Amino acid sequence: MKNQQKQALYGYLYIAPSLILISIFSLIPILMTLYFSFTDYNIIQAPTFTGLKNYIRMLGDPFVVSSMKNTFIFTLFVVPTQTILSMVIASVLAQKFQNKLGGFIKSSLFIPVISSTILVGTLWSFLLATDTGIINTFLALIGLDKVNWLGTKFTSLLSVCLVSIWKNVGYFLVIFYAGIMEIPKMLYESGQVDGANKYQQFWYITMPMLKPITFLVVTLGTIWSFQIFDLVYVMTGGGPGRSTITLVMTIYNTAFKEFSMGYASTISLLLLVFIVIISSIQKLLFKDNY
Amino acid sequence: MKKYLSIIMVGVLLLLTLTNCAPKEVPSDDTSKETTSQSASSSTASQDKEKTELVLWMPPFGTEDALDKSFWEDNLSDFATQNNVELTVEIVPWGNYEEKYLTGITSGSGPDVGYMYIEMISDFINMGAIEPLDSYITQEDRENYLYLDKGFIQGQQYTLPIIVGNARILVGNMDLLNDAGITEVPTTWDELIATGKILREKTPDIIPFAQPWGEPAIGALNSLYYPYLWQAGGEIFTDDASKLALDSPEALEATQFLYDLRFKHDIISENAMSYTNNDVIALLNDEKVALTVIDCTNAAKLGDQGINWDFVPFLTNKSGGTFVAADALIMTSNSDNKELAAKLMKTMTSGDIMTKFHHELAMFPPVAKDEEYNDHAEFKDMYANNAADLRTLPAVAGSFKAYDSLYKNLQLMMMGELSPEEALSYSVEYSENVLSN
Repeated sequence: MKNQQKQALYGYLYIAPSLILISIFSLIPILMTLYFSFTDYNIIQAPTFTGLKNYIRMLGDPFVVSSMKNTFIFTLFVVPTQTILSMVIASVLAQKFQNKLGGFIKSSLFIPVISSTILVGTLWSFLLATDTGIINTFLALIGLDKVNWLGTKFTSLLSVCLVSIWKNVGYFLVIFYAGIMEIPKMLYESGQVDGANKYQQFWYITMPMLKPITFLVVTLGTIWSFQIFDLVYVMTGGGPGRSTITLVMTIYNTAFKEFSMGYASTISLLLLVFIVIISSIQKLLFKDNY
Repeated sequence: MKKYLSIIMVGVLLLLTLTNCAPKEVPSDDTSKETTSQSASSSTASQDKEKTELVLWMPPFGTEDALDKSFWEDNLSDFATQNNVELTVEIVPWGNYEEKYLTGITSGSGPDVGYMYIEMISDFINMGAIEPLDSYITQEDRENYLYLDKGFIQGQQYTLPIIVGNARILVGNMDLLNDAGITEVPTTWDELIATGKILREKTPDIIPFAQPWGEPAIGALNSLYYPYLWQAGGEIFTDDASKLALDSPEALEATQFLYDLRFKHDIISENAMSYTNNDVIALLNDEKVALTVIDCTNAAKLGDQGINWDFVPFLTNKSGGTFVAADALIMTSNSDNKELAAKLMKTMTSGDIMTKFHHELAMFPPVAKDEEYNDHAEFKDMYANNAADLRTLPAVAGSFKAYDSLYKNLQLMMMGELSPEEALSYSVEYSENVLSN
């Protein structure tokens, strides 16, 4: 065997374990989902081929339409907000609070990340309760009207978005903070020598240097947002009306409440297509910087 | 080469030994029979000694899961001993209940006997996951059990009702009503409107009629909508269960009534859109709600909170009617010990165990004649005199999505985004599409 062939063989041997695992746990399930999407399947009985029936149903399904709309709005609001917020807080902490207070703030902001989403959802449902919630009680104390946080179309989606941001920001903050600490100090010193103020340093040094990390944060945030389920499930159950229902919630309800695994597979593929498209767009946008 | 061959031979031999496929000596005919007979008798003897495994899945009714588990283990220990059964009791939390059953049954780790509520049952029957019970129910059983008809689905006896009751009743805080000069809980739709208007005018800080439109679970419709539908003379599904039967004048009347309570009479407040069942109970306990529809179990606890409460079973319009739960025990088709599973179901619903259940875990009316009435005394007359008006949901396969769509559309209506006609027509159209799938 030639040396080059030998090297190639070793290469394949090295990637074989990962390839096998990825095939078993990702590729095969995706292919099976594709197959089930063309069937009527309830898990217990054998699937029966139904052609494009599930795809046709999906096009006119008000639950899918609403959940797509909500998922996009959620993603468009949550991802930029949590990215900017975590970057700014990380930057302020890195510049002003490299002390015990900074450590305390980081830890405090990280607590929601490690808390159970079910717990967070339940807690915020209590806080946001219209008549008995602490937030409305506080608003009343300062002379403001009660807000029907979880009872109107607009405020319920907004509430879920804000709680999601509150939960995620600590995680992305830590990533940004680590990235900022890796930026060479001499860049800032050079900037100072050239007369750059703090804002200019952030805009022309910190942000460009953080682009690879920003790509990671935006990609992760987008995927998480597209997969939002448990928080909404606990806080609103998708309501009122269909105002907070998400794609994953529709998939869950279809699969485990309606027992239509075939149709749920069809909606899952829709979600997969969206995630692939959006991740590809993000990759293109950040192509020179990661 | 010889080396490789010997390795292959050793490997094959090892494989044969491990898979127990090694060639066996072929005995003569007589010895063969003898060996088989010996092996059968030794197998029977071994089976006699071995315990039969039975798995029971129940939801939690006590204040904590451990309480439920120990209740069933303790009370079924005699059954287990007498029948040489190793009984495993699992308490399945209400959250993700259907999911647990679906995945459990699919993976072969489901129960022999389980507890299901009516909305689930038809789907599992259609999947072939539930065993009919007709051959296990004797004439004596038929005379003893009170609600076997509720488990008669698709022409067969599929379930053994274990909890039939917990009616959704109209509860009033009598102190708050008296403050507004009202002495009795309203009994008709018109009286509710009149009472609500008086309350709105005389006690503006009190919620006249609370409804939990923010409750995430579709079971909320059991108190929010179905009672009014039945009171208007309507039905949920068509006779052939092909769609929601809400394209009827009766359904429109009921829906319009709720719409008017919210937008015309202002008796249901805008905040109702965010109330869950727990919020309504908290508001009741804080004496901020004058009237609401809640289940008997929670109503009975109001007295413990010092609330001076009274109730009527339901309002009447063209007729009466309210929801009662009809949850039941089922036997799974893949149970290996169906006779014993049936025996377990009967033991669980026997008078002795049900009496203890209704005293120690949860108070419900009896499901068979061999138990005395052990629910709260306040409700005894209601269960005795209003049986015809206490309605359960029809067992319709695929009903979840139809109910879900109805609930979402009604929520949109109560937010002012759909008219009653639109809410109903969208729901009917969607149900037709879903049920035909």
